[in-house]
Amino acid sequence: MRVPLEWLREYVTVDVAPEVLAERLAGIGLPAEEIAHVGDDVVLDLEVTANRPDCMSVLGVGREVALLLGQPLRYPDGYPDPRAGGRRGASLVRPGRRASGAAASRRRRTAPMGSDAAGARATAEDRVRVDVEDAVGCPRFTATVIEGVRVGSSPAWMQRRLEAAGVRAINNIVDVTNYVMLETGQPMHAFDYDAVAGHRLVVRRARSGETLETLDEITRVLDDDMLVVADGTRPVSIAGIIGGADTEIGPRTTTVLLEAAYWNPLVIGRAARRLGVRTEAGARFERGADPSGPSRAQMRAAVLLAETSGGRVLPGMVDVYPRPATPKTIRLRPDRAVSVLGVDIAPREMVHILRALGCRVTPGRALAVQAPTFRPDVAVEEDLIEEVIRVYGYDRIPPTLPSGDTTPGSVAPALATDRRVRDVLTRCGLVEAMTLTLVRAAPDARDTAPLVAIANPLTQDHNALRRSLVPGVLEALATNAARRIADAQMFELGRVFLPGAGGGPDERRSLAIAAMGRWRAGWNVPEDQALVDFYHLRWILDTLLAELAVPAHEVAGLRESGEVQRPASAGGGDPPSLSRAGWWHPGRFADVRIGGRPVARCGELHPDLASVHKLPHRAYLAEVDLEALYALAAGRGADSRVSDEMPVPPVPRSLVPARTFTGLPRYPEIERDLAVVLPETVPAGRVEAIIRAAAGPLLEAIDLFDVYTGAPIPPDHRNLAYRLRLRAPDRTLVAEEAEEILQQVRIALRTEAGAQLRE
Amino acid sequence: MTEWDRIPEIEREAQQACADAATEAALEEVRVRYLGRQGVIAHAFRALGRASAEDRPRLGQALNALKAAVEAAVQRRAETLTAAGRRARLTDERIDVTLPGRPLASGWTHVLSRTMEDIAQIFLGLGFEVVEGPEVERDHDNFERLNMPPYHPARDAQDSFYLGGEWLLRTHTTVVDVHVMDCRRPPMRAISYGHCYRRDPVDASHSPMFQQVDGFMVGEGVRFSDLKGVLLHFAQAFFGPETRARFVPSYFPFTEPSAEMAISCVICGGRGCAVCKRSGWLEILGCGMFHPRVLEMSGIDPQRYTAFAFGMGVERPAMLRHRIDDIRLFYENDLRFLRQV
Repeated sequence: MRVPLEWLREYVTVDVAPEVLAERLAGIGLPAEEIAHVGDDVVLDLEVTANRPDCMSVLGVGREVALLLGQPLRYPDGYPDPRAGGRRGASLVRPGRRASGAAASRRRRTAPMGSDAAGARATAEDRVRVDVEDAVGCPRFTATVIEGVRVGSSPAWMQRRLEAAGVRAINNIVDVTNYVMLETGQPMHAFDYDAVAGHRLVVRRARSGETLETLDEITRVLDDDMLVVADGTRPVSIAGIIGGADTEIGPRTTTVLLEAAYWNPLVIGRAARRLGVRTEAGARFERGADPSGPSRAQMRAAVLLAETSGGRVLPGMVDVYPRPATPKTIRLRPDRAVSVLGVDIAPREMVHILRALGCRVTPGRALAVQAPTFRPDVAVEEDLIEEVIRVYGYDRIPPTLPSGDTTPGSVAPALATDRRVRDVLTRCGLVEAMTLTLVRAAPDARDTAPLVAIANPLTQDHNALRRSLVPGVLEALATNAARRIADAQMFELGRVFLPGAGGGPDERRSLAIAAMGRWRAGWNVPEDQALVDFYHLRWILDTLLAELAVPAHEVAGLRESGEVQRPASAGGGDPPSLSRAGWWHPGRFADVRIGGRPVARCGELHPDLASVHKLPHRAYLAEVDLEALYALAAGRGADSRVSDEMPVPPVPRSLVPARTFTGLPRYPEIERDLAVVLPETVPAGRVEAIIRAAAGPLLEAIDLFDVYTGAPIPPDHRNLAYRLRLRAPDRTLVAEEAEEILQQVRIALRTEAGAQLRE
Repeated sequence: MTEWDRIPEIEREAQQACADAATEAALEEVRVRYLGRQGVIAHAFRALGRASAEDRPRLGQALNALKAAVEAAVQRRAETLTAAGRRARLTDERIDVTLPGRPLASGWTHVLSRTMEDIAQIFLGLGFEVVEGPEVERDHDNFERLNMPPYHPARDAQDSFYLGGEWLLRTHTTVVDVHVMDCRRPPMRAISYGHCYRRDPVDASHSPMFQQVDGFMVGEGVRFSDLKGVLLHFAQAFFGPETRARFVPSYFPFTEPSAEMAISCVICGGRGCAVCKRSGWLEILGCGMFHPRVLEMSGIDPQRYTAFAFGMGVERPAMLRHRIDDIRLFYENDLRFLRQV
């Protein structure tokens, strides 16, 4: 709300500098976004919260300023103080019953202030008939008729004020309606009386599909939850929001039909959002205007129209107001206020503040308070407590720490586990990325899995939710590559979303790793020993799984089709969030499985995709299904959910069991080397499994230290050199025992894998 | 005068030869010359047979003494030569310590996740449970349970992404408070953090996805002054002990009274600068006492229990702490940025 100080001073004496005023207004909840100097005036651009429609007016702000500065508030001509002149205001306008033309014509004729009633024969009620068909949507509707107007420019002072407040001057009629709105907070609408068919206004629901060309020259399609003001034949305005083009005030207008109403905030809010029309009027009505505002605004407008357009306001305002709002009495217990706020405010101070805000207060053990009609936000005791403290000053509340029952602090297990995952991955040299969850649902041949679509996207680049973190971290690699950062090893921990069956999208915790380029750098470090490769990535995954203390995992190569090399009995398909096969180098990707269930997929990015993304190195990617992994870490089934659990107090159990110390070895080990020659097609994993099985429990560690092809190894074969560490927990192992174990291993390798053993 | 009289002379010569040996090889020659099988001393021992029986013991003793003395001289010299050699070798191994170090990839968490964990840690110390909630929520929980019915004007500030049906992306982590209240009885205090979404076009200070932290406390006799005390403690723990906090009225449909907390500008200390728009204050957080309707909807008696709640964006405190001037940097994932902060 832009408040020109020159305008504000009409209602209240401001005896402090604008900056001081702004500071003090901020202290009661009206902070200035900007203090602008316009010409020789100062305009405060106040941020008005949605609960304060009364402050969307200069007079409303004036009331707060008067309270702050201890000054009286001066009301403008035709718009008396509602408390002092309450009776008088009421006597001018008699509440009507449910409207009909006949009822309207029977109404008492009243002379709005400032009108020249002496020469008037006709009254407004003779000239216009108002029917309100929806009294819930429109609790009050008033109309006046002004004859003999000369449409032209409004006076310079009015134009200056409007423009300082940010409203364009149009003509002397429309300007008065805007001026009254800005001054009092009551929006008004002026129709060209002669363009209103049948000189009749009907407030009704729009018919579904009915259209109206509005003042902004856009034809709007309406629905039957919206209210319109119609004339004898068609809608002439969208109630409370914007008028129609056909009945607009023009240069040839001589008679004006002036509307001021009170609309149901929900109806206006809904229509404004449905239609996407945001207007000054709509903004006030949807927040809840003042039900006693319409008649007062009519009187104020009559004064101004007479002054600026030469028009003659017909006596007798039409006022359809079947159920006048009766102020509700709210109880305020001063001791409750003190105990909620934690500051001792005397009851008489509360009374003083509330009265200054326009409330009627009956003192007592509990105060009986009637809030003014322009404060729809004040409805319950807490609202009054807020009014009291707002004016008393939040800064006068002493800071205290909570007393009484305390609770032990705790961290939800999944969050604590996140922390361990971040720790282990950063130890492995990865930098955490954070990418947007919102993605573009592009029909990509490689990944046709359905995404969760956003019904109302902001841009087509962000029209769906990611189902995998891999594209995001890959994009991060590409971003860095484009900025000539060729060495990038990153991870992201976040949520992925899969279309759900009925119960909304399925949201899962996930992790992605993307790495390319050198993991060690510096002078004289050969690149081939420094580049990230599949085995570097595998080490990271092994380290992660060890940290989470999950059951033993295996890495299983996948064929080009994406089929997992495993016996048909193992069951299970792709874990739902893991990226699909098209991403990967066909010879270089694998699943990491625990108990046969894939928990991660990793491998080299398909070289075609690497070149699409202009990556300077081969890139290695992994996606880890943390939802399953955390469940396994907690000793639960891989399909149980761990995210968003509300842990049971007082102290939730960690998802990750503490690893157990197994003691330091007490007896010496024996190391033996083993060189195995096998066809290259035999996976090393199988060789290792055979060795482990044959060696038995005394095998403490197995270390592959060389992989060799070339002479004298036969073609298509390779030599795998292992160092085996053997140890007995309870005695010193002797050489003969070690030799016997090794012999078992050799036999197994020969018979099970057809290996040749080199000495 | 016989050859035996030359024993002292031999010793002197040997001592001299040892001293003159400049290298280990030269010393070896000296050793062989005097102590070798064909050396001077062995030769003298063999000549002992020709000496008279009465002289023999005395001469034998003298020869043994000579042998021991020469051996000692050789040994001493050898030690000297070895030490010098090692010194020389180590000197030759000198490196240029001013060459740069060889880096390994070193990992780092994202500044926003670190900031959220830091904030949560402060509240953990105040007895808060750190919890989480889903990013996809029902409209009912995200808005109506927080006293924002459909078409409420306050929803404008939280324009939402809808996913079809009743589902939307949460616009604030305040919705997690609702979930906690649904499965707890007072007293309780909890804090949550994570991704939130609003339909704000991207610019230097807006992003359709952003991070939020929300906390609340329900109990008998929970006061607004407790809210001030807890948040002041947070501000000083996070921004530094010299930080001052200011509370001004605000409006949130789910709190009454509502407030905004500003802290003394961390850039200028409150004197006024471009970051705080010359005001000396930075708004960082919204807060208040939970509206009785919100407690009622969660089955908590608002006459018996009161509650405070607060929520803040995470980007702004992180930007202030690290002097970051553009919110887009957080989600661009430029490693030069990620490694700096």
